Amino acid sequence: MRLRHAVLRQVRQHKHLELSFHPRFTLIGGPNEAGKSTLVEALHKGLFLKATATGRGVEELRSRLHSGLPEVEIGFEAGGSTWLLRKRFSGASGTCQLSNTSGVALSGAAAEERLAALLGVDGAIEGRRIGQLPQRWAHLWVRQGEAGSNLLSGPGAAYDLERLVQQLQHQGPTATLESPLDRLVDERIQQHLDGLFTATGKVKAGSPLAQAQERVKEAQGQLEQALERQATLETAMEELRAIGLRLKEIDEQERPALAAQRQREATLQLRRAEAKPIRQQWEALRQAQQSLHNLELQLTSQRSSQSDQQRLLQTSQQNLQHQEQALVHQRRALESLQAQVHSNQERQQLAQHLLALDNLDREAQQLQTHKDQFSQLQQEAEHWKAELAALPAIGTEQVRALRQGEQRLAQAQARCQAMATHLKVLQADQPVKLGGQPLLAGQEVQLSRAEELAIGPGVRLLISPGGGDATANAEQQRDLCQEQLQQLQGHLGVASSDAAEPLAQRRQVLEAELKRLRQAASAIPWAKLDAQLAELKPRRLRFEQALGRHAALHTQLQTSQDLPTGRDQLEAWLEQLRGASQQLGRDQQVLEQTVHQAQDQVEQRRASQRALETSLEQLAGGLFALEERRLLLEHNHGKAEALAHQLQELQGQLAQHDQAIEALESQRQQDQLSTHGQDATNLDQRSQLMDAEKDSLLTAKGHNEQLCLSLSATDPQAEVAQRQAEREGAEAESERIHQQAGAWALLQALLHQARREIAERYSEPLGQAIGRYLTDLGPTLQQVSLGFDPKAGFGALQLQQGQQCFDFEELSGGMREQLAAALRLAMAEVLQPAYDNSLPLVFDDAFTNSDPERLSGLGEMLRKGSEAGIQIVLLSCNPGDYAPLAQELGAVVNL
Amino acid sequence: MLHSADWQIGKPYARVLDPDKRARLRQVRLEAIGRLADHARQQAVQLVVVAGDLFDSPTPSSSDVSSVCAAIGAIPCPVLVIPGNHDHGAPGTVWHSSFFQAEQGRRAPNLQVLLERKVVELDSLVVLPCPLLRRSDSVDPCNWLNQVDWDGLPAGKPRLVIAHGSVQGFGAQDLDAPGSSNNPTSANNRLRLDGAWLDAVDYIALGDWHGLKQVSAKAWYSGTLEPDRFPRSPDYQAGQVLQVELRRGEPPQLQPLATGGLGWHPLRFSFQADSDLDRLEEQLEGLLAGRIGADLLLLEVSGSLSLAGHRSYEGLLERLEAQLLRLKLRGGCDAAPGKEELAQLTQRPGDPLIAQVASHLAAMLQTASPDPGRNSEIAPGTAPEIDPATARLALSELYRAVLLADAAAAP
Repeated sequence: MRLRHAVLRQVRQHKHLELSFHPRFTLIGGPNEAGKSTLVEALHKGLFLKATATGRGVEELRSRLHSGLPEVEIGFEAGGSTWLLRKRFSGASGTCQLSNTSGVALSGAAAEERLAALLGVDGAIEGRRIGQLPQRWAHLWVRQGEAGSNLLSGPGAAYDLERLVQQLQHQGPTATLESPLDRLVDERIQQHLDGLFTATGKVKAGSPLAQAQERVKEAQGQLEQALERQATLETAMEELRAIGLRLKEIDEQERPALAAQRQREATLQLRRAEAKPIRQQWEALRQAQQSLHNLELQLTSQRSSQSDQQRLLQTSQQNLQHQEQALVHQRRALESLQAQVHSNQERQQLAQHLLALDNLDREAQQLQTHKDQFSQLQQEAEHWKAELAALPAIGTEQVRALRQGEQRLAQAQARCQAMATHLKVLQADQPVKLGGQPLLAGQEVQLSRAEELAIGPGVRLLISPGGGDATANAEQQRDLCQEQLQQLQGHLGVASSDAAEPLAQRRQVLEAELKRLRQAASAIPWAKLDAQLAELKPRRLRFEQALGRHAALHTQLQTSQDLPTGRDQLEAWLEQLRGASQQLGRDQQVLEQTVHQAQDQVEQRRASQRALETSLEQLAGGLFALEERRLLLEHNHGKAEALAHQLQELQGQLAQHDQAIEALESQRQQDQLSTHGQDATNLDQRSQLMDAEKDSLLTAKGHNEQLCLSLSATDPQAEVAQRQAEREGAEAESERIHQQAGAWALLQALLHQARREIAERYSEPLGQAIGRYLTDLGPTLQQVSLGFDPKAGFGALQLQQGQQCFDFEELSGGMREQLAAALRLAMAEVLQPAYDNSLPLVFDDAFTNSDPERLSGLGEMLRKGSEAGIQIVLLSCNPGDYAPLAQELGAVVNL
Repeated sequence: MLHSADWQIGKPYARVLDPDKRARLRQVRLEAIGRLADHARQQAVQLVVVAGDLFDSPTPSSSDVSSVCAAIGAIPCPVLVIPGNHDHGAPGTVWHSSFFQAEQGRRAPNLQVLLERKVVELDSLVVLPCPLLRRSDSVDPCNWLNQVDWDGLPAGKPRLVIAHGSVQGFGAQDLDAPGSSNNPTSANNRLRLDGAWLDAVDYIALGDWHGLKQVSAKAWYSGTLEPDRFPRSPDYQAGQVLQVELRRGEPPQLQPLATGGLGWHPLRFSFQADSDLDRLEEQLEGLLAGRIGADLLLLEVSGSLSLAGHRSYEGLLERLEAQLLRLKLRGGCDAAPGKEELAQLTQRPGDPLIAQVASHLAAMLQTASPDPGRNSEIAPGTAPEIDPATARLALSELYRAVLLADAAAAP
């Protein structure tokens, strides 16, 4: 395929651009914005974008400067003809016309189809698949900025992989990579695998393998269900067995044990109930026995006390008797003593009377004496009274009064003297007059008051005693005293006290004598002497009359001469009698006291006896009551012996009961141990629990039996065997498919491996072709390695520099441009035979990163390509760089 | 008496896919009871003893119950049965079901199920049953024999112990693999037959082991009436009943009587070449003699055949499946392309991929270790580690695909 000319109408900045392509080398120069890239793009779209395409791809072609729809016309050679392609991009109404010199003129879809065939592509790109457009002839159409990208990193379609491989195959040493049969077998295997696996290698849903695996899973599930049913059945049977054992245990052991225990419990209760009244009776009887015993004790005690008291009473009575007898004796003694006293008193009275008579006699005699003495004294007194009467009545008092008056006078005189002013005229030549009274020489005057002293005619003096009025008073006192003394002396008739004193003394003697006489006379009961004497007579009479009362005794005594004669004897007798009387009196007193005491004692004893008697009565009453009670007790409970017997009998019964109860309780304790601490006494509860357990066991039994029955309907064991076999079958089938798939996968892998091995033989010439171009850039850049995968295409492009290999992406920008250009040139060279031995290769500013030094090398590369038949179209904003080459090889076009 | 055990009526034979064949296999077990009844009649025995596992399950179907009762009812003497581990005597099992009891009363009045471990005195002997009362019991069911008052038993009557379970000291090679359907709980239900009571009894009728086996002078496994598995050793004997003559204080006199109906054949065969197929056909003819529906075959194969030979082999298997009640395959016959077949694949210059892949697989098979681990994850696009089986299969598939593609490509 070779470009001949191109016409752009209304394409962006181009109103009408028309240019021709040199068959070998066309340099299209022009500054930026001259429309170089627009040209490259328009040519590409003209070849590969459907004329009826809409959208971005078409919009980009429209011109804003020039009216009209974009039109692209391309003249080219292909398939042995020269073709003219005209595309008018007007959206859905766009037109395409293709005609050749042989008369073929196509339009519309047919034209597009033919065009695609000529270009070796599937078909024109529609507007909505505009994304795929850059991949068309990407190896031949180097757009601005894409020169350094790795062509091989894209899909194989981007560089016409299939045709490239074909061309390599044709050109290489072995003619074919694979035969149609190879491909058919490969496809068959692929179909098999596609039927089983997804693109990502997973088992495809619905595939035989998936179905087989599903069947395995299903069979496994059914087997598990069957096993579960079998296990359920076995469990149910085991449970039934356990339930049966438990039920048997309950019915044959626990329930009889419980019943026995219940029986024992009942017996225990019964025993206790039976024992209770017996115990009560026993208690009552024992109390009665105790009461009886107490009563007996009381009775005995009271009886003993009764007899004690009776004995006491008896003794007391005897004592009382004795005491009463003693009392009688004592009373008699007392009476005798009283008689003695009486006799003694009589005698005493007699003696007294006798003595009284005697005294009376003596008294009469004395009275007479006294009478005589008194008369004598009276006479003497009369004498003395007469002398006294003759003497003045001066006594000691009067003497003393005289003396006192004398003294007072003396004292008053002394005072007056002491207080008075003394005037003595010692000599006087002139008359001296005092108080008018003349004073003479040698005269001494005493002044007791103020007195005028006149000396001569011319001198008058007032002399005042020192004491004032006192001197006068003292003189007055002296005068008084003198007067009084004179009065007294006058009264007494004596001149002085000294004269008065012997008189007073004589008077005293006389008076003393008289006094003595009077005293003597007073000693004599003189006043009633006569009366006394007269009185003696009745007294005598009375004594004599009294004597007369004791005349018998008097006579008896006189007769027996026991009567003493004489006063003294009589007095002695009387004294004797009095002594005896005193003695008798004391004796009587003692005796009376004794009697009195004895009486008291008797009274006391009587009282105590009465108390004893009362006590005895009370005792008797108590005894009676006790007897009554005993009788009652005996009446109620029998006599003591019977009671004891009965008690013993009851005791025996109780012991029997207690023994039985003890045995039962011990059994109960054992029961409690055997029921593991459950309340062994709560038999009802246990029975209920047992019933409940049995109920639940029976329910469980029924449930399990039902379960067994329902599960046994289909023999689970047989089912398990069946399911196991099914699973084994499914597994075997799955395994078979798996194995077959493995075989297919292996075959496929081996086929791919074989293809790869063969295909690798074709990557070598491509690599060598690239290497040839690279030699122009320098001798060190000859080695290029290239990978190939039948599906993924070429790849792993590496450049060897010196001893090192570099991936494409590791190279510098310039080197990448150059290597990519070499690759494109090599590809175009290989592909050319499929396209009439020519292909256009468009570089739009493709070497912007390359050093100027490399330009010549690049030029050589391009020259080599051109020489190999490649139609090179080079667009550059620096056309000067390539102008000599272009001029040498082809043409230069300036936009 | 006749000593039998492990009838396992109702055994499902679930691995037999054809329901008719399954039914036939079950039916055959019932028919064997008829043969036992014939022996009982012919030998005029006084008693038949079934030492456990009369049924295959503690909850057999009603039809099996009825069939068994009818079959037992036809035996002309009393039949004593104890439950085994398969049909243990727990409450809820068949033995306690009203249906069984009714059927027993109606159809098999001569049947006595011994569900208690206590002395049962019969006219002619004393029976000491050791029934299994749960599926799995760690307590030796014979334990109770240690408490029996042996002096109190009638002196003249022989003493028969009936028990079910494995016996301690019984060689491991004799036992089924643990967890197999016959012996699911080998750790439990163990019998100790060395107690002091051993001297006091005359015979121990054992069940559980499906082959005829003497454990001691007095203890025997009778094996099952009708074989239910392929024999693992040449001396494995199944499909008989033991006729036992008992006298007090004397060793038992035993005589096995055949009751089995079906042929259970193990066959080991190794393919070296496609021609071996004919040799196999001959051997099979000798074993099966053209019988249809009366044999079971355990075919243990090894070796490999060409792809075409393998297709013939598959055809043979198809025929055998139809003829036999069961064909159980063990091992496998590899299908590997023969030299010519391989050449058809590798000699294809026009189809470089096929040729290269086929060569690769052939080379792989030649160098592969005989028994590598299987690849677990398979996904397209990856190169799995190759095991020879997969490689072989891949080669076969390639061959098939090429044939198909060739056929499709042909006009």
